[in-house]
Amino acid sequence: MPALGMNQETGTLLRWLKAEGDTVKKGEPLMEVATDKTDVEIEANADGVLGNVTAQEGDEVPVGHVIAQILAPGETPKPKAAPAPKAAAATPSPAPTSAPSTASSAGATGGAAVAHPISPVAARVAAEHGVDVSQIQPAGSRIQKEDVLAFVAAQAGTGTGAANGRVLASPKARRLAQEAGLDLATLTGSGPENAVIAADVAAALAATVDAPAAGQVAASAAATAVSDGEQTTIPMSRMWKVMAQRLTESWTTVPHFYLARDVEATRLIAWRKDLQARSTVKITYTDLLVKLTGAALREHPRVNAAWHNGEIVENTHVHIGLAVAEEDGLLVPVLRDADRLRLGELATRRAELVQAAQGGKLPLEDLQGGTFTISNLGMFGVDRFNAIVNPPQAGILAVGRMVDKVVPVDGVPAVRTMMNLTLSCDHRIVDGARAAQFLDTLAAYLEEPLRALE
Amino acid sequence: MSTHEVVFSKSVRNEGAREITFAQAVREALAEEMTRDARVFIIGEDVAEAGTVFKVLTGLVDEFGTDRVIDSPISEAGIAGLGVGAAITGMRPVVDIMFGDFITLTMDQMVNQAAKTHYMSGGKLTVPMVLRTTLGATRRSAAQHSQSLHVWFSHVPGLKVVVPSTPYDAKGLLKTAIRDDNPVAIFEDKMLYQSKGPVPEGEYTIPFGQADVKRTGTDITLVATSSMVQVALAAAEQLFELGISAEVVDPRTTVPLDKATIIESAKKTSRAIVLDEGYEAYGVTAEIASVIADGAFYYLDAPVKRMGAMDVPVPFSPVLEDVTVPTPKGLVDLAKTLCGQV
Repeated sequence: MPALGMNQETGTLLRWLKAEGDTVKKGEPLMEVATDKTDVEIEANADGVLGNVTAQEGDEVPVGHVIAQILAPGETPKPKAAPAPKAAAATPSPAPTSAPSTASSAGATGGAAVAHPISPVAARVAAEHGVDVSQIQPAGSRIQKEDVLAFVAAQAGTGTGAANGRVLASPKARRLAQEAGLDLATLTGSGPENAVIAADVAAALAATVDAPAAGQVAASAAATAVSDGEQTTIPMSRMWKVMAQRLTESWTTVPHFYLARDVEATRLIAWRKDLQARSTVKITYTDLLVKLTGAALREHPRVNAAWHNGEIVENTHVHIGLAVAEEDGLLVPVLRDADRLRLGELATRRAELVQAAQGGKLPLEDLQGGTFTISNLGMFGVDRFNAIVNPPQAGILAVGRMVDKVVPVDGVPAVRTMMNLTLSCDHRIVDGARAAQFLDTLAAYLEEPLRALE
Repeated sequence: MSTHEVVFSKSVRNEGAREITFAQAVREALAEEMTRDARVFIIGEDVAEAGTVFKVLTGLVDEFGTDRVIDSPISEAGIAGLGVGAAITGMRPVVDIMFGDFITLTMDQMVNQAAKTHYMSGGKLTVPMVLRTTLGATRRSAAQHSQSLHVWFSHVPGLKVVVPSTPYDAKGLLKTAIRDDNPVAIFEDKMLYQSKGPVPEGEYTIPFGQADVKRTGTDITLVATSSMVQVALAAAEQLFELGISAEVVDPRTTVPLDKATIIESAKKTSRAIVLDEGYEAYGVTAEIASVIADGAFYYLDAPVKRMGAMDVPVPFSPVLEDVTVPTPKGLVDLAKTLCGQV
């Protein structure tokens, strides 16, 4: 089961595209696998015959687990249970004190640990490659050099490169993975001997950093709720698992701080009413919020920045993600160039994205590339809340409901429609003063939208 | 592997400069320095009427006379010792050792005298001598006339070692060598003498310890010396066709070595191959590869590879000789492997 993304622990085999015994060619589609994020067609990594299939369609299998083998013509499948030869498995394992099956001892009469005799050349080659000869299944009755080399090649062709429990990785890949907080063991290496190289780290980052909050809605796992009468274990969709994982990562690694501010919504309400009267598409407060937040981000590029590999990177574009609740979890579709869209375009696009998200039909590219996020829970009656930053973004704006409040106006109590904004920031990217200046600009725009035109 | 930008360094480009051969550039540097400084003289085997077996010094004896372009007996040990003595007593000798293979005979003079005198005299004496000699195989000269032994001198503190790769570098570096107050050995590849390149007329010098990026690239660094620079440039052109952008770095002097430029380039590209025509074992390539491994370790995405002369006596058979030295094809294949193209 290949690892297709960082931190992926299991994959679900959706469909075999080849049956056991079929001839497959390297590069041909072999199976379909569902991961946390998406469904992927996996290509065969070698020519041969598909055999020893152990995973059935629908099985959820740990990453790295052998689910089938591609066999060379004439090659017999290895035993399904264990990679060790049957002969060795059947006999009691030798006591630790008996002669180890090293090349030197193996060349002799064949000790208890060695199932097959071995030629001197094969023994030397095995020693050079650090291969345990008892693992080798010879083509004939005796282990020849070719058998050792075939074994070494087969080892090199499976899974992530590893030697002595250490993941093979270039120094650069090691450094990049450490800076990004990635576990090398979760990456698939494409370098020599399947070593992880820089490009593999970059690919893993591109696949995960861009869509940190959620992924495409894939078919839910077949699991159902399990209850013992006292407690019920709810099966999680893949999307929910991803949400849990990403937000835990953010909460435990991003130093959060929060700035809250109440703004008066009177002018905003009037603006929307006026716009709606002239518009054919439905314009929501969220649309106005996105538009004005885009304008404020333009003036405060630091809040539109990201944390990448230990560096602060300011984004050229303003792409605003909107947190959208959905049955299976949370989705954050992205409104590209939100600051440059006209309001009508913005409202149309927002409606499309939300509808697609709730229908589970959002393409992956609409979930990627966000530079800032807005989460609006006003429609649920929430006054105010603190949101969790959506890495690698610098900030997320939590918007509460509009509610009439008594506020002092010119020294006299007056009733005004108020709304709370709470900005959460990653302190590695933005400090309190910068965040406050951004929030001040945004508050000014909300209280007097015409200022955004200045 | 997306960037296909090719920018040649200024020294390679030199638009407008006339083109002359490597040999002519060497001769011009010597003539200019002999005109500028009366203390400069040349001594060696067949340097005068013959103008050396490679015809590098043709005509110099007519211009400067046999007092300043001196034919010597076949005695490398003798003329090297004469050079050290002349330098200590105020002259600026340019000692010509026809084949670099015979620096073996100059070893005591160079290693124990020239390299140590300034230090052991407490700075009272200097040895401003230049030892000009050759390196390089594929001239069908057999095992005793084809070696590249510049690393022998590079190993000894107190000697500077120059390995020019182009006519432009040859002239500028030789002039710097003659003006240097320390002993300098300059190794010219026999096979480069007839190669042509732009060389400005008149005065210019090139400082030691300053590598020249002969071609910029983003995917792999090829550090090459002397004629291997030409091999690297040819390979870089082929790699470009394959979508691999190679950077060619020419250290120009092995001592002093411009570690900073080499490390910076390796950090940028994450991959490096070091080429030098000396033997691979304990060679220049080993030294530079270790500099890269040490200085760019956390930026490397592949092991640093080396290509030098095969560790065998250079064969006389042309067919065999040609496989003992790095070629553009071998370099392209290795670079492709490092860049993940098999």
